[in-house]
Amino acid sequence: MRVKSLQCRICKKEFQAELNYVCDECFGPLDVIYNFDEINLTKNIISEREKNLWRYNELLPIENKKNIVDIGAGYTPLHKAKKLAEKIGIKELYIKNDTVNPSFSFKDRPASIAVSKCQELGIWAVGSPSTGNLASATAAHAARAGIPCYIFIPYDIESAKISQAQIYGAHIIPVNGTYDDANRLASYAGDEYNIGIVNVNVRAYYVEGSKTLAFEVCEQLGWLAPEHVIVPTGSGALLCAIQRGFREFNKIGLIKEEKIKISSAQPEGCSPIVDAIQNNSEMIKPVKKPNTIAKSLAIGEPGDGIFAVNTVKKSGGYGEKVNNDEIREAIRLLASTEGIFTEPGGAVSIAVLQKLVNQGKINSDERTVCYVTGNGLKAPEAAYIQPPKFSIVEPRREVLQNIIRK
Amino acid sequence: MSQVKIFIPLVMSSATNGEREFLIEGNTVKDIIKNLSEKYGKSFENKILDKSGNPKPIINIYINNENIKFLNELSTELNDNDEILFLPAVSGG
Repeated sequence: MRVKSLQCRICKKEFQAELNYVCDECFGPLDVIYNFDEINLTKNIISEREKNLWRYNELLPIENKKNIVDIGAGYTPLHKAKKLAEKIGIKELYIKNDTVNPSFSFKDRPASIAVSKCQELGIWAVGSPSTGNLASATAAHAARAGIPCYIFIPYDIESAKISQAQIYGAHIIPVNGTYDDANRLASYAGDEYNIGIVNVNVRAYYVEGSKTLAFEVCEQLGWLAPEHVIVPTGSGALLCAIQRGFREFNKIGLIKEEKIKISSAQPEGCSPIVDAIQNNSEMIKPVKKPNTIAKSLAIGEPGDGIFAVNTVKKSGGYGEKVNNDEIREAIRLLASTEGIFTEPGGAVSIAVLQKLVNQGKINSDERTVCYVTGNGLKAPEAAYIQPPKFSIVEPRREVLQNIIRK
Repeated sequence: MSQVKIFIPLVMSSATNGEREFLIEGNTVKDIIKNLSEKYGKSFENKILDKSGNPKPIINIYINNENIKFLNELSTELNDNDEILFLPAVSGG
């Protein structure tokens, strides 16, 4: 068995690897612990496998391959961003472009693991609370698995995200409240109806999918770790999973580097983790009504908040936040320099990168990776304060001389 | 003394002998936790509160679906028929 146990992050008590996410001793969250002595995963083995997240399957918590639900997530491009690097003022910058996943966000990674684990545990239905991206990722994987899916969303998320999740056949439940209200209702549904709520009662397994964002970056850099990564941060789960990914690759000898700076990027209007980092606080002050165009990061009560704060501090990274104008500018900058169109949540990492470089907190020669986590078509209206206006032209050759300039 | 309704999720119910919905009395959230500890043992309080007597960051406490962090924390006063929910702080991802 590759999974040894689930272990409490706080008191270290161990549990069988079943459907469980909270320690009964201290109510701490549970993490998957692997039998590392039994893992045989080398660079050669990995390089011969299909280019998706399952190429690292020995470090993922699915025991039997027949339970894998895969729609092709992962092994997304790591793009060397030369023009953007020059604009921002650093020498070596890479964009981990998760906009191109099957449901167009990084959430396909943890959703694939979670829905697979639900198949393995014989759970009849899955679901998730979501600001949009996880809704589609869960619904798409549930469709592939042929099982019911229940999605709990704040009623006012972007319409493209609602349409997308619904088209996969999920039951959409718009909640008259914030994401945190939707999360609470979903938790209740998981309890009462034995539904696998992927980021709640399946969470210990779910977060393992996000580790692959660290694995792939190392492999794609030629088995080299980055020196600094910038992570868009909502709940903190992605940031913590990336750190765990680097740690596990180091543990099994696939990378030599042990210390990689991890910086948290949040939007103003919902920055509880960054505020705790900047105030050197050990307490997360939740945000009652998040107010940002980066709706995918509008998590006012971040479940992994304090763990993300500790991870950033121990790594030597920073926390920084950016306003709506800075986010819009970052969307435009990334698109116009590197041809990547990201939604506001993904652009936060680019905007924060610019800020940290301007503040002198990132050296110009640091090998830096920005994680860009969701596709711009998920929230196209957010890229503009006012929608762009175009002048319609007659289909005559003469009009071109006023438009095209060599 | 206000009589309030307590909701405990399945995953935390080992701390309340499997009981998940029940009535209890108290004037503030702090009273409720103290009364729950008297009923189910000091271990209940130790799981909810840290050594300084503050709610641990890994637990959220809601009164009528409002997080007590947006109210008056443990000193939040209670009324008859208020509903108190204890929930692990698990969200997002």
